[in-house]
Amino acid sequence: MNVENTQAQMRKGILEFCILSILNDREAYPSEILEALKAAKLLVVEGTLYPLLTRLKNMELLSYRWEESNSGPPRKYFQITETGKQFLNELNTTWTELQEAVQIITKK
Amino acid sequence: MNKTISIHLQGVPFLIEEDAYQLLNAYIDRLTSILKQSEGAQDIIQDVELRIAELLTKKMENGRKVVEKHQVEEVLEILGSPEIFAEDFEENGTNSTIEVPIEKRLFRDEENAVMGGVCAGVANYLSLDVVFVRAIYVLLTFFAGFGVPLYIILWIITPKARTSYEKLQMKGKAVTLESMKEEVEQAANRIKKETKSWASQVNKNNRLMGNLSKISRVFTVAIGLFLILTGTIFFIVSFIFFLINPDLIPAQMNGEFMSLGDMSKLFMETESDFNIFYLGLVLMAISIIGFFWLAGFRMLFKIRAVFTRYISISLVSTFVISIVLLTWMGADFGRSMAIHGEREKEILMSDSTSIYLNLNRNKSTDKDGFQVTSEGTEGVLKVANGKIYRQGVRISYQQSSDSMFHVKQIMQARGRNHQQALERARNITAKIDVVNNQITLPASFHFPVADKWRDQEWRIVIYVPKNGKVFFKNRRVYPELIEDSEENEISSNGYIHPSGRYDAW
Repeated sequence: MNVENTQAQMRKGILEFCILSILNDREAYPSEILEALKAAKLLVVEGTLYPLLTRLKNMELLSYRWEESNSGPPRKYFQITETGKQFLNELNTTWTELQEAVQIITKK
Repeated sequence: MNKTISIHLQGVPFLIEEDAYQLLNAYIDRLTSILKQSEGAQDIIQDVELRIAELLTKKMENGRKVVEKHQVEEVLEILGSPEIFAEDFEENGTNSTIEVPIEKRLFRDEENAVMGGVCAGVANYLSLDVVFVRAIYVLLTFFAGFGVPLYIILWIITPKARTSYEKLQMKGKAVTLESMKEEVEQAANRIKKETKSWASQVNKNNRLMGNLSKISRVFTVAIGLFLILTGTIFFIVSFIFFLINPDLIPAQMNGEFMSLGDMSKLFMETESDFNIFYLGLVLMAISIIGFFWLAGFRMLFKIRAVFTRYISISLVSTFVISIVLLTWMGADFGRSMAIHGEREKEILMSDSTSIYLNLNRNKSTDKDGFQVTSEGTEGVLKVANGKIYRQGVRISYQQSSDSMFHVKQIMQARGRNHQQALERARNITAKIDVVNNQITLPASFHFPVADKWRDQEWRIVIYVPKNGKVFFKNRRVYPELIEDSEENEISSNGYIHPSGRYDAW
């Protein structure tokens, strides 16, 4: 297993957490989510996003509505559901714990 | 110039170049097949199409009208290879080159088809050369007989490879963005080539021409099969003739029938002459079979021109060589038959009014006291004990110039020169017994095998005086009595069959 692979695994693990976080602030359609993720250098190819979005939606953590666009295809705006918010809270706690744990371990 | 296609992608219309469309289509196909089992496949594909539409719209913003291939490539590069959509796929950065081997499937390959693309499809499936598969198929048709129904069944049950993804599946290539691009490029090249060849034809109605070319294809295939069949029959016949060399000729040699090879040896002066003659025949057979097969296979399959040319050249040279050899042997045989030599001898001179002919058949009695009337040695030719036997006696009648019977026997043969012809005539042996007016003729005459067959003849000429009569086995044969009539039939020729039957004409 090479470094790239490990990095990818780590990124993938927190990708769902990040998506939920983005949508917690405001509703967004995939391109906006992608932009945010790319800006944070979390995503290399876009393809990875779609299965995650669909899964989160199927877990009813997300819902969406359609909106027509002036330029281009109609947009699928995703928003976080109540279950999603609870889920995100739990993830937040876990993330904080993990962050602390990693800091303690790597500080020495 | 490129063909464009108008498409709708999630409600957004695009004008897209054909190769770009193919690529896009292949991508979606592959994606669909990867997501086949997973939950929410429809949603994901919809999302991806939305994103593609969005990205393409963005690319069209600067006033472009038509989506080109490189733009689709860029968009697909952004999305990443279809494999990363798989649930358990592990992303590792730049993964568009990851190869996921795919399950090979049997498709008909219509792009490389002669008829339905079954052979080409099977060749793809088994990773064999298509020519090889077709050859096996033709063999199955001719030797096992089920090639045609097998083909029709496969034609019906095997789906045609339609999409780029199916074409890759057919060939068992790993599906990556790269290989899909490659497949699409190949398809584009083929289309270009076909367009060119179409353009060179005078072709006003595409559909009509399409049907016509299909019909002419069927005709070509039928003619091709016929040629191959003819060649194959020729091959079988030659195989039997040259290699099995069965005793087929109804002439006897050492108590059995002769083979064509044995027969030709009777004509050929030396062993090496025979070998040259034989070689000529074999080469001629090879070239003729080869021509039939080559022509047939060319009509059925696309054989490379270079290949065809080399084979044609060698077949033509083989044919020419065989012609030279056979002409040489033929001319030599002609020369060896050129000069006629004839000897004659009076065997009887008689002033009686009648002479009597008898046939001396080797009569023997077997242990049961039966008389053997046939030893099975009848036939035009018999070879035994280094001698060639010819059966039957030819008789001709002529008016005697005096009042006496004159009976002559004539021996004749041919040769390269007089001496040789006469020598051969001298070697003809026919044992005749003459006692008073009784002439006992042998049922056959013979000459040495070493003399070869050079038109050796032995015959009897009977010069009949006025009112002279000739009897054969106590029956008057000259002048012949016609039954129920007072008239006599005067014939000029007679023939005594080895069986003892007499014919006159």
